[in-house]
Amino acid sequence: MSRLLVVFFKELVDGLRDRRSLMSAMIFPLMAPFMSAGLLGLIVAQASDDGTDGGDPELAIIGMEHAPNLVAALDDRFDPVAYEGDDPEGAVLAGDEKVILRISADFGEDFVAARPARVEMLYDDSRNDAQSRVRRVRRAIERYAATVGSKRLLARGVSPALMQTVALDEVDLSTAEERGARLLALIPMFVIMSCFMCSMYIAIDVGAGERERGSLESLVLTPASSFELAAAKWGAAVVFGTVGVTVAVVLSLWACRFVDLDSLDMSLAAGPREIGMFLLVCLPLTAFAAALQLLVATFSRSFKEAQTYLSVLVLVPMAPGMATMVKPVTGEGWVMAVPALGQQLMMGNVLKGEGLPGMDYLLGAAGCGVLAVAAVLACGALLRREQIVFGR
Amino acid sequence: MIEAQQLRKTFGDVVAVDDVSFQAGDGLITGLLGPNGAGKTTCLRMIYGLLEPGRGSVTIDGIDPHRDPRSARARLGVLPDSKGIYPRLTARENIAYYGKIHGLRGDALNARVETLVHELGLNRVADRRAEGFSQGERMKVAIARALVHDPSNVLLDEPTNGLDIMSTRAMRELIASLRDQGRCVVFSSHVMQEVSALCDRIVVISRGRVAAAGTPDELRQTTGKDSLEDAFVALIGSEEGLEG
Repeated sequence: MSRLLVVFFKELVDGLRDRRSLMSAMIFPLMAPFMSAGLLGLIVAQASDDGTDGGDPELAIIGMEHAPNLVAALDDRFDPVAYEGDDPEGAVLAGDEKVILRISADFGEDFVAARPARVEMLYDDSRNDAQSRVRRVRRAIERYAATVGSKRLLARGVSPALMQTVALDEVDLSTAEERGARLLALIPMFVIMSCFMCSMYIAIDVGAGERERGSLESLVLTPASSFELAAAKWGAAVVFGTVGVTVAVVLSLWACRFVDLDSLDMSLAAGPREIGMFLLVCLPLTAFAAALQLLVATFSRSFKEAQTYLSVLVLVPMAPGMATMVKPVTGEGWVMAVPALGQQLMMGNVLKGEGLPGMDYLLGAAGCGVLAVAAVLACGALLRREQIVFGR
Repeated sequence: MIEAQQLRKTFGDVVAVDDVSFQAGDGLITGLLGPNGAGKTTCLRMIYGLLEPGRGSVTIDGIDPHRDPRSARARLGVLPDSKGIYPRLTARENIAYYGKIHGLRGDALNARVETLVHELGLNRVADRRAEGFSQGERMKVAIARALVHDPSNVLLDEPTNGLDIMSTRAMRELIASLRDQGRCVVFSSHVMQEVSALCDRIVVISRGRVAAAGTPDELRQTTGKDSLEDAFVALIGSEEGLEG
């Protein structure tokens, strides 16, 4: 045990003196909150832009004079103005106008004759910021069309209810927190990446660095067993990872306060209690990340080789976060034991304000813990192999 | 006291070491002399227990390093083939680290490190980080690290490789002083002069086998040559790999 501590403290001191590994360990957790809060702010700003921009938005219309009734109906929610340019398509593509309506010259004639009267809506579907406006305009026109249609049926003595064959009532049961959680998958994702980033360089240094410098042969000749060496090196990497992830968690949740989620009718739980739960969730993951990285780094002959493998490995834990944003994953049971995925889900639940169920936590910790120990044991076994000790 | 009995090691089809036996006594310097690639390093690795011999056995003060590595290592100081030290630690910290792993603490540790720093002439650089050290200074730190637990047996793999003349001289004095302290010293070299100047016993290794063994005088007698260099050439059978 004392040998283990000797090696552990030496690796810590050595790691702290390595400016490069210290910098790269801390840069990510310091940047992550700004990236997640910044991205979140951007998404919120776009989504909450309900096409209103405050007050009634302007709506450019070509041929207003052909459909005064329609324009009057739109006037309720928009500020209709005549479009005066001569290249409406260009204006939409350039983003100068989000939507332009073009009312056909035959509108009045068709309308009176009860034929479908044509209105063109010009928009660019690839523009995220135009989509809510497009929805709003479409809804307004459909509403007008439905009103007119009902009146026509009534005038002919037919109940408009005949046209409505199915009554669809949409009942949205998601809580504000749950709607937010989908966006908030960003935060756990960056936190999880911090777990992997912060221990990476020290793991490379104590693993591949020991081999590359040619000090491993002398080290394994000491009375310290290969498992003591592996465990001590792992411990040093876990310390780096834990410090980094703590910084990332505290800053990320603190940064959330500056994102205006109310405008989206969303809220998230990000108080001191949540910070504590995040740290609890992350610690086993950090232990797993460090062990896996140490194993890979010990397997690598050189710093560069290890760096190549590990920078790819760092991308893997992003997958659950990405998947959660595209399609919400609901986790139960064994899913929590999958490293990174389980933590992503647990942290998501914490942000939703659901807290941290003990069973989930134990599963997550056990999954990471078992794999971490296995990786450390494998690393110890590697350190006994002739190819590793002598192969440079 | 180190004894090697009929050591054999193969890597695939290549026989690196075959039937190597020798004895290295306390208070004596035993030199393993042979051209590059003769199997010296492989022999030493089997002796210090990191390489499993295909056949044969090794004992260090009567202990088999493959059966009881911890006791064997406690009696063995090794300067291995790769002599890297930690560049971000000072010379003193590099030495003390190994002392602590060997269980030294407090005053005993400080005293031992101080003695080694003094004996190896590291005073000037003792508290500097090792990253800027010369080859000679790095070698000295690596040797101090090997000796920190005061082992009675010392194995040095090419201890003068890459050193300039002054450092080589200092190294020879150090090796002689280790013998004078009563230790069993085994070192390998491909440099004739060094071996003849230092060794009480020489084991000539060629193509993985012991070509001859004995005192320098005995080697001259068995080959009938006047100079040790001629004797060496006669034993190895060619001038290939001879340097000096």
